[in-house]
Amino acid sequence: MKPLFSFSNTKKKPKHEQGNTSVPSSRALTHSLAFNLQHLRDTIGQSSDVIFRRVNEPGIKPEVALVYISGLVNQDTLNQDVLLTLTKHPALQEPDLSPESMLAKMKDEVLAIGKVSECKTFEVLHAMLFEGHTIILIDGTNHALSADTAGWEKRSISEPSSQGVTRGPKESFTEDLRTGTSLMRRRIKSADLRIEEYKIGQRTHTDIALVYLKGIASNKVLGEIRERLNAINTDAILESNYIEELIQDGSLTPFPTIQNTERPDALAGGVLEGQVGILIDGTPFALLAPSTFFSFFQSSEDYYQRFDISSFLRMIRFTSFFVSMMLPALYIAITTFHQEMLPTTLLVSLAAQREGVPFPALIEALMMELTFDVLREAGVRMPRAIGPAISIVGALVLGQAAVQAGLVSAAMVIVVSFTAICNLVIPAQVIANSIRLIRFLMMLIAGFLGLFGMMSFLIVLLIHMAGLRSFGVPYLSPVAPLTFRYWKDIFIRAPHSMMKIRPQIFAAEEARRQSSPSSKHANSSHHKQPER
Amino acid sequence: MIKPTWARGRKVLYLGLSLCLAAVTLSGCWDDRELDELGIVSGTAYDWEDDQWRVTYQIINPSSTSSMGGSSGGSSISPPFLTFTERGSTVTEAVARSNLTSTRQLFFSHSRISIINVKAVDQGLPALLDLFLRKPDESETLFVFLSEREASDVLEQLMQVTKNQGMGIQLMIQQESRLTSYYPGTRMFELTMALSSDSHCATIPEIKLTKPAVMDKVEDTQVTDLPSRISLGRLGVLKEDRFVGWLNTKQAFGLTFLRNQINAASIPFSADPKKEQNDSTFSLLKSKTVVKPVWDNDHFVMQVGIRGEGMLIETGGKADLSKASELARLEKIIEEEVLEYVNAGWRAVQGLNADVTEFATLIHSKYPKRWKQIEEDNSWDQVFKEIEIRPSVSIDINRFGLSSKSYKSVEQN
Amino acid sequence: MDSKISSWNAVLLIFNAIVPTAFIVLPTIIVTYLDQDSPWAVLFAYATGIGMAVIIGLIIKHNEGAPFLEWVSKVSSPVVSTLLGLVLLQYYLDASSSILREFVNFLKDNVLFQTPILVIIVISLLIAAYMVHQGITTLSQVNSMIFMLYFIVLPIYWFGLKNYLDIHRLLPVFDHSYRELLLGSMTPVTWYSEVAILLFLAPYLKNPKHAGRIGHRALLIITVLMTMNLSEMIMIFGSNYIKATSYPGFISLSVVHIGNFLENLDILFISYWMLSIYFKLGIFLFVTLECFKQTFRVKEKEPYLIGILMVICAECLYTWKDPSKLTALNAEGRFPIMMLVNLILPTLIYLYSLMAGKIKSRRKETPS
Repeated sequence: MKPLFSFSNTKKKPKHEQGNTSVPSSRALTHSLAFNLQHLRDTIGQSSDVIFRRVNEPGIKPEVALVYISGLVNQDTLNQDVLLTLTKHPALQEPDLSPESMLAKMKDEVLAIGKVSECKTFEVLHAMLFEGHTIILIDGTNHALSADTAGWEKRSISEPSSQGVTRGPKESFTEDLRTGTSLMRRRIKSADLRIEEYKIGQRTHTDIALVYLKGIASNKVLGEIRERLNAINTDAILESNYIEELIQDGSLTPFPTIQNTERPDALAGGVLEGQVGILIDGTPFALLAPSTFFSFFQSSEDYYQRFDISSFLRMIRFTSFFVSMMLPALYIAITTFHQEMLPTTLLVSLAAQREGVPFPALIEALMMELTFDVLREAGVRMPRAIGPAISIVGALVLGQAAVQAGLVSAAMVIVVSFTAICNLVIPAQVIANSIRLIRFLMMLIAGFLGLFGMMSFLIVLLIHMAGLRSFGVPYLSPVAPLTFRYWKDIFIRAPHSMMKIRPQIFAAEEARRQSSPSSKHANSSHHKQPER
Repeated sequence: MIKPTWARGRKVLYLGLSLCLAAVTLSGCWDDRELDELGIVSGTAYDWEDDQWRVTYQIINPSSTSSMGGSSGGSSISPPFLTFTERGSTVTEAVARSNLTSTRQLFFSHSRISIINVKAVDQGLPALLDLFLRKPDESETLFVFLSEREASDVLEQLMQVTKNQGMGIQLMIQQESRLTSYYPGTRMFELTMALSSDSHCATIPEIKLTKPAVMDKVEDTQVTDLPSRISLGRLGVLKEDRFVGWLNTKQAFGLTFLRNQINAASIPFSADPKKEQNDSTFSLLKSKTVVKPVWDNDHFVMQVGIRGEGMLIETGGKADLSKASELARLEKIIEEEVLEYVNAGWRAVQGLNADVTEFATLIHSKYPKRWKQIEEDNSWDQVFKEIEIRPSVSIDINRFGLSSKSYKSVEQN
Repeated sequence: MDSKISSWNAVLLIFNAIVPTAFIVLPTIIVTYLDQDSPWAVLFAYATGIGMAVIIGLIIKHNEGAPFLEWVSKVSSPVVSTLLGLVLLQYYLDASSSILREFVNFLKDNVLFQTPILVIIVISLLIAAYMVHQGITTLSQVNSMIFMLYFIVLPIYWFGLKNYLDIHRLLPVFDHSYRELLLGSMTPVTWYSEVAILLFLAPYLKNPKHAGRIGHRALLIITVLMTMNLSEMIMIFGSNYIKATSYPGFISLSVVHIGNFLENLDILFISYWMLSIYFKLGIFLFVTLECFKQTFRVKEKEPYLIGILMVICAECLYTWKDPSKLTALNAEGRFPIMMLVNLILPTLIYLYSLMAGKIKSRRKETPS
């Protein structure tokens, strides 16, 4: 497993060599087993899951003790490969073994375990313990052995729950980091695939892995990401959003600048474009950085379907984005400021519906939008069993009855529900959520200044977005700054055969990803030539 | 990153500014009008009475017009529109007065038609046009009509099928101009343009009721054959903001040929030269008129070339259309028929001495120097009177339907 | 990534620095003088504009994209540059506030009849300030995005009007004397002279050497668009009608209708126009700030931005209160000032620097 890891260019020391430096006491082990055990007991406390076991075989001179955490170790491995061998192995049966040589023998001959290391300080010992290793302490030596017996309950790989596709791989990441890296390895079988590990969080010691392709990912971006990861100073990382918020570009913005995905194929796709994947232990959601505004509209399914339908779907997504952001505001602006824009018949029927509605259009829209958001939140939180109740209350009581009671106009219900549905079309939840907030602002402004207000707000949004950077990459590229030849995968999805060039949006340099047809089959992995 | 000292102050300032802005915007919405506060005007009528404007507004009654009007379903018998009549020394005064009686603020952007009484034209057309140019919520694309009787009577008349009368009249004039082409409709901006062009003349179609009675009760429309209907009539001619006369449909048709505004038309004619009675119809599907002014010693001659093509849809005589000679003979007859229309139209226009043909623009562009002279002498009226037209018509029958012989000739065989 | 303005972005920046107000102000003024010959005035102005673009390009090539006033103080003296800076500052403050006023007047006349002027001014200025705050490069990129919308807006406009075009209204050509042609093209020439803002944009250009070409291309696009729109307006309405209206461009927009259901589209076009005038305002505010910065040799500009905003706001509120004053300025007053500021002063300094350079090199030659 070792060659997998690449620690090049990192300032942080590899995780197994040194414990977390922020904890002050870095005491060395002593020669006395009793003292060591007592110290361990003192620091860990009377936790019931920490097991101390003495191997007090009469024939063995130096006393040996095992420490492990039940639940983190694989009981079978522990029994078979550690306990059994320690007690039965002939090499240890020799009389008068010195503690040092015993330790050496155990490490080299006895233990039938892949990863066995020595540790000298309590810090390392703790770290190993919480990784699921079994610590072997021998009386008379100030070294301890740690044997990798890790094996805890894991969820098996299942279908992605939030980013499903009809065609395409059905695997998703799990909470286990190792599963994640293995899924990436399986997809990109290239020596250039680098996985860099970090441990962040003074208390959680969460494992974080950067996944990128050397030579394709831009060094500038990588350096930036490493720097920001190293600058993180927090005690807990429980989910990828912790990392996302801590490393994203500083400015206050409603727009996400880092993608998240639970699909290994999406992550692999991003990595192949030159993005850097960030896997975090404990969550199936991995991050992809840098990201542009348009990355949030690309679904991995776009590449698994025919290009024409994918392009159509993508355009629908962009339209839905704008509809979802602006439709209620537009409705307010047009019906209260610019009635002349509507066709007469539509105006008349809208006017007929509004007869007797007690509130101004703005209040009506705000009320309905809030109601929908409440329903949506209820839908997420509610227990499965009462789901149908919510739908009935939502659809019948609030929708139909409100119209019949004359509280809201039917057109408003249509506008609000269409807006909500459009919001669900967008593949990335993060950006869909950010426009939910923008929508309210937009409605308020439209209610006070009509289209003039909306246009002003749009300008501010556009300027804001054009000024945003995601790890140095302009958020709106390739539209601003404009690079027409990169448009093949933005608003449409061109056929794969036409996307011969890897855009330099994320990647270090613009390069061919498909060589000329004759050498197509000879092309192994990352056969790069500069363009032209 | 070391921020300058004012950076923190700037944040506070921005916050303050945005709070101010929020407060200002929240404190007032100045220009919004809720839909249920609007009286959607679909048509207006202008009369002149006792030296005052008498303005009638037709306001759409949403709950009755709309198919799904609110909860009641619009089953009650309320009229699809209501009218308000107000007097005032100016048009705007009349609009202002309407607020004394109406619950709704008048909203003009969706106005489709404007009917002007002939007397009102003479009294204050410029003021009316100025109003339309100045007021941003007036729609420049509405159709203008003339009326000899009280314009308000026409506006009060209910229509069948198309309940929204203003829109119905708009459909009527558009269809007429597309399918029959006696005359095109005149939109408000076209009227202003025509009156401000070199010739200062314009035409406006007439709208009238077929009978004196006005059908303004909902119960009146519950019959299949409405006793009195709205109908398009003659074509009114305006010269320099004044009404100068009418053209009947035949003359108007000729004028439409002269102005190259034919879309499709049907021309009845007599296939048998011996008979006076028309027995056949030619449907003109395409027509193009080219007018070329030529200076001929002492007066202008307009060479009018009309080319048309279409299909024979009705024959009464013994025509055998498979023969080329027969076709040529019929084409000749139709050409003469068209010529007659054109001449009739031209005679009427010249009689009124109103250049609605827009020959002035043509002469201006072809003979700029001579035009300058005419403008200086202010002699266009005189010059126009002396204009001679030389029309030439060429009609091509390129289709004659499913049967090549007239039914009569089949019958006789 | 790239913090400089690429050449095409610069072209479109110049385009939007000229067109938005030109579109509402120019037609009435030109048509008053020239009737159906108006498109020729635009072409004539284009010919003059090329000359101006060349001169501006030469200056920028000469100073290698250095900040304009710094260069002036280098070739002449700091006093001259400060004086020139003050004149320019005054001019750009005036320009910004009159642009703002035109915008506000238009909104008050067409869209927001009751909304207090102060609210519109404050909102517009804040947005312009935000644009400037985000930097000229961002501004230019978004500006290009907005420009691309022309490809949607213009076809609708042209398609919707196709029924009303009458070519005879454009005839006869050359019906007017040279004197009238000159008078008529004066105003477009004035507008075209705003190419001079390139002098202040030069330090931010990726290729300052191409400044002349940038100016020229921008003027070409403007000319094509203006000629087409002007001809179209005349072909629809005839010149007499245009003279009578204050916003002929928008009257033609309100006539656009597609079938019976897409009518009264003017608010759509107005919205688009609003987008573009924000950029014009942003560009001028940027140039004003840049001018201020160079005149008083200050490093940070943001603290002064607020002051400048307040000056513009006050000027907009009080100096241009009277619309007839603004119309008079547009028709007559602009020409001498803008010619002086945009063309004559830079040219004089350029010539002076050339001469000084020659004298210097001669002096260098003589001792050796």
